[in-house]
Amino acid sequence: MCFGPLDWTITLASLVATVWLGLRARRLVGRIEDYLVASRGMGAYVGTASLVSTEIGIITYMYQAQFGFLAGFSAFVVGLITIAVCFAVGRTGFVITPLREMRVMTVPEYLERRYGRRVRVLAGLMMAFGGSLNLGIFPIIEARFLTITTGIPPRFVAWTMAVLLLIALLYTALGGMLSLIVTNYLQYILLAAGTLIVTAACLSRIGWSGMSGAVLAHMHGRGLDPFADLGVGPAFIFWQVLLWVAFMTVWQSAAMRAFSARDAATGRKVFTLTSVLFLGRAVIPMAWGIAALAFFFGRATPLAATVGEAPAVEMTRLDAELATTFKPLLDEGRLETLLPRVDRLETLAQTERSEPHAQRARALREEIGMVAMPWMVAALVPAGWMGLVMAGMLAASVSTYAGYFLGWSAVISQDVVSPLLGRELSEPGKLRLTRVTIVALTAFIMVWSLVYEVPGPAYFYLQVTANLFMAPTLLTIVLGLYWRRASALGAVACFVLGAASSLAYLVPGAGLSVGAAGNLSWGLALVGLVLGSLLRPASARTAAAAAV
Amino acid sequence: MSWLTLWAIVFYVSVASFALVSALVAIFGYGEVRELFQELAEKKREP
Repeated sequence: MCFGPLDWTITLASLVATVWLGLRARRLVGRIEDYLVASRGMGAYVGTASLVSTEIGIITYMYQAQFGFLAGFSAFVVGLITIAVCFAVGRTGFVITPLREMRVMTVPEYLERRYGRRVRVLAGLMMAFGGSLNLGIFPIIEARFLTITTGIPPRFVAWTMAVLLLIALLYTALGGMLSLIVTNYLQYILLAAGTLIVTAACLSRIGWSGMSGAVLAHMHGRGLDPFADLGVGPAFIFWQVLLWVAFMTVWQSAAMRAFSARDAATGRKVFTLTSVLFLGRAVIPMAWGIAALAFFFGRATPLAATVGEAPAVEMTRLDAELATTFKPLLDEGRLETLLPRVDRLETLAQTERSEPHAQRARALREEIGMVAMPWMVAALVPAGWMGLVMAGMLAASVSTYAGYFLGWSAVISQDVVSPLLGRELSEPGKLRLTRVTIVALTAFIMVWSLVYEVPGPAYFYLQVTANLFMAPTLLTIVLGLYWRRASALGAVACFVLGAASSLAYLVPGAGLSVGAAGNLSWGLALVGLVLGSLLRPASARTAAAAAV
Repeated sequence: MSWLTLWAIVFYVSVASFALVSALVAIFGYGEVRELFQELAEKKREP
């Protein structure tokens, strides 16, 4: 590890510049429209920078790298889905253009026009709940990256994360979307530079041949065909297509960029440019995960077989060994020692048909996958360059917090608290409420990240918590726009059923695969919406008021 | 075409397009930020 004084100087200077820019924008904020959607004056390139830097954080690099480490090249299929969906939304303006033209500031605002206030509040609650759960694991995962790459002792990492959150909180709470736009521009340049530096290091030290060799040699025949691989497969791919359509259209932080655009055409251009960057957002860190697999297997020494030891005995011995040595070796970054053992345990569990051992080996591989990329980055990137990478990573992280703080607090204040108060708040009142919500949200995620343990790969957790409200939201909006009978009863059933089946994945012992939970959520949400609407259809006047 | 060839193409295209669009964003985004802030400053000065 080589994080020296020059690296610290570059990193801290980037943070100071971000705060300075963010605070300068604050003086231009007057109305809630300036604050939440930057007076709808955002251009296409800066909008792209803002959207992409919000949707790329250290967390993104971590979970995508873990997914690449676990699924190999099969994970790349997500990148192809992303670019196809984002490009299609950009070209057609599907959902984003009608919402932009209705001049809404949050997605649930449309739901009130179409289905009434109760549906808006319910949608707002679901979004706030799912969004906060989603955001809640960011700090703890990002802290692992920082500990490994900078050498900050683990006892100070919570404080480091608190400082990062406070930086994001400070300029977001004061300057809103205007601060975001200007800081996101700088942050995007830093994160793009950091991304390209790490990619160049991977290619020069490991190379494509090293990466492909590792997948062929160490993934037991998996890692190439996404339709055949366990954990990816057709159900997962189908669900990902649905989820990405929802993400591009009703995910609050993405939708806010469309609402902030100068006009509907600019909003569509933002999504078209973003589609290209979102391909890289998925594929590049996934490739880092595969490079980490190659890097650590390349350094590993093969396990010496014990003569005369039966496979079942060897499996039990390895399992017992790992129970005591896994954590210390993982914390020291000695993944080249761990990987062959976990790999051997997985092979033995398969040949001996021992499901408990197979599950344990998978869980250990997931844990290694979460930290392999940062350990590789710390080993590969030289001093000086590491400062630029860290500046990029922190920029990515702070911009994500800032964007999500604004997105979710806008929903909580505009769609939950404000309607429940039952009266229209004044402009300063709305601003104050949004700022207070941002502070409360920061406090929540600090606590949640300390108490919650993520089940399975982080990628799956993040997708399921997002799916919890995205499936019902997209369905209620699309059918609200294009189906006159869609009614409030259908919308309520859609939200309840869609969220419940997503949550089933998070319940320990439910045994539902991520693809099954995701597809079930979409299916039940659709059934709820259709049946509820057929039972009690919307009045012609309500439907006409908010239809395309 | 084998899966490995497809993924190699996807990887190199994603890196190249990421670099290219990032450069465009860096060049043209600067002007857009200036324009937005000038507009807002003028709006704020209006009575």
